[in-house]
Amino acid sequence: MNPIGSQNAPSPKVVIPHFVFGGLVWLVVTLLITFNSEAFTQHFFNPVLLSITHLLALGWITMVIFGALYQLIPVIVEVKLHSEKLAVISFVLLGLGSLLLAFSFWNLAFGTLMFTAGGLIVVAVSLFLINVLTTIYKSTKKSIERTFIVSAVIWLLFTVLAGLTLAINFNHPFLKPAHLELLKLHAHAGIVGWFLQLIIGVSSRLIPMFMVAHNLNTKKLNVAFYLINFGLIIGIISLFLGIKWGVTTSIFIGLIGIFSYLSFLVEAYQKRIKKQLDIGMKQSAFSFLLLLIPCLLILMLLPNFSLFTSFSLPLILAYGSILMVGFITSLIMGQTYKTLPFIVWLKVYRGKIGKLKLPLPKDLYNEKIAVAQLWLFALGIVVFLIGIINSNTFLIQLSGVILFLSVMLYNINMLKIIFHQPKNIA
Amino acid sequence: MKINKNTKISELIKENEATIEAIVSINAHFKKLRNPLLRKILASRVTIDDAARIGKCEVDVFFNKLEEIGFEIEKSTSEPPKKDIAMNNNENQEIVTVIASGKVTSLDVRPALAQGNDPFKEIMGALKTLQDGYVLEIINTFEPTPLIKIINSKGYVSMVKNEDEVIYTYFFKSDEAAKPIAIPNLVFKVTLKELEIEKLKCKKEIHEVDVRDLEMPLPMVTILNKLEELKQGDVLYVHHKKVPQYLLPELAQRNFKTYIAEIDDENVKLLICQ
Repeated sequence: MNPIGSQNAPSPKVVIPHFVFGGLVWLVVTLLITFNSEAFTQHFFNPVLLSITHLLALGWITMVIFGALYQLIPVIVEVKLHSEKLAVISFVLLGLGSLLLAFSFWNLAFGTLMFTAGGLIVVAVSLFLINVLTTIYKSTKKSIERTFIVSAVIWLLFTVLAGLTLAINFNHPFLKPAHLELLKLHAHAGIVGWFLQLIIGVSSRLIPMFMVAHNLNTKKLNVAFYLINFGLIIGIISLFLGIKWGVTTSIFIGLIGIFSYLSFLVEAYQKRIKKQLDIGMKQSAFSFLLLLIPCLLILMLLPNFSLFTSFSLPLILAYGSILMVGFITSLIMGQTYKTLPFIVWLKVYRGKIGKLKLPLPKDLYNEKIAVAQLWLFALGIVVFLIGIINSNTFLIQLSGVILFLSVMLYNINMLKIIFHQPKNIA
Repeated sequence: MKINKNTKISELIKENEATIEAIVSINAHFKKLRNPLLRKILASRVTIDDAARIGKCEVDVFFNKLEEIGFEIEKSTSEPPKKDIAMNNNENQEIVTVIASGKVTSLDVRPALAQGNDPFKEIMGALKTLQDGYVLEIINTFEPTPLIKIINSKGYVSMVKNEDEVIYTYFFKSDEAAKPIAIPNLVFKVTLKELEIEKLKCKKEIHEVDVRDLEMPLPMVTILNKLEELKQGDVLYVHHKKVPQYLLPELAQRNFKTYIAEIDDENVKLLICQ
């Protein structure tokens, strides 16, 4: 008989600021899209686009993921988070670093400012890595979710270190491969290594839980893990050495891995007990449909892999945009509706649950606002994509406005959840 | 009848109806006692000592009036009044700070009192749902001395403020007090065999619940609801999908002992007992 700890959840004070910061950054990004639509019609290596991309990747996506992981890791491995203090320091450094980095890209300040920003981010990520790994290795609980998270976090460190190296290489070229090829390496380490793997690890636990699906075949996740990592390593080496067939092979290996994961999700969907999907799950389902588009685009880009044709350039932009703004962002917005209300609900009603008739987490946000947010988002992303593919600044601008409205509604609901006052339904 | 400062007003009235008018003559505030409903609510909880405080006068004023209508005063009453922190109008620094930060839940019980209803349940209900770190403000026409005593005994600090005949009473449970004092370890991981042995040991009724097909947080809500319904000594046997990480602190806080047996990745059995 082993006594175990009962209080493993972190303080909401550590987790919630990540969601607030992320939501506000994403709102600012929609404004930047609206007022700088021409950036999406040029070559992707332009200051505005680099600035927007890093704001999204670090200030919004990575920020929310950090917060969510502090909450989720203790649940997956059944031990307490190693250090909340470290989490707070990491939050501040990542926040400062991402704003500063966006600012220096915008102003083409590739000097001290950018190194400072990059340095802050590397430190933030290192602290996060230490915190996560120390927590995870306190536990003996092994699962495929845990493996995905560990691997994703290591890829994140690789990505930011590669980013910093790129910044140095831009000022004082010392690497042999072309800078733009290295950029692809950095981007895919981030998108596939960090975001995609983390999403797989987290969603393969949460999505079956939210849909109440039992007895799923987790072997599919093991297959996904090995193929994606194998593909990514081959891809990165091939990009660095300029081996074209290696890149092609890596794409196919990676895609098979992704489809293995998607088939796990389809199985969960078919075996679900909770038939009706709520608004958070609808937006999540929508994001997985969006994931199919970049999978298709990368195959279209393969035969025509020269960078400066008028055909491939908008497609490359569309590829990156649909991944970051479409798939990942939509999934995070959807999953926020599943996680944040629960965190706040538990904070507000802890000690009273079961004794009184209380609202449920889903009663903490306004359902109508969430529905409007999803429809606006879907419309916005479609207009955005059409605008990018046709290099039409008007459509991109229009999509910026629609997305702004959607993210505004999202933020309103988030604040409504965070500032929820205790209610007693008598 | 011999009386002292701890004698309840209700006993006085029972003994002699004239007590009502005698007390009203001390302070018009006590006109409430003429209302039979309010009398029932208030008089049974208030001692002479409390009443003197509410009416803002010396206990002796009461004794003099009561002697006039034939009560006999016990000698021991001359002892100096016990110092009671809660009754002081002294400011409680902690409460003042919380009020300044705007974390106040307010409850005006004057309408309830005016209708002759007892606000006691309402106040205790508000206290129960009070969010951590918040102060409960009770607005009243008199200092609710008995209430303060009851609530103080539950580990709350209090403060009373008098503004133009309106009495504001504040209750607050500081974080230190709210946190369970080093939760004793009440959660155990066991094998299924050990769990069955524990189950057999139970002499009382065993209730069973299966929460595997519920979406979160319903498993937790269902289990805690069931536990509220249990009789003393009864035991709850739960079929769960995983070790419920967010339920465990709730159980520990309520002093339940929990045995957990993990069968496989999707099957966990819990035995929860008092």
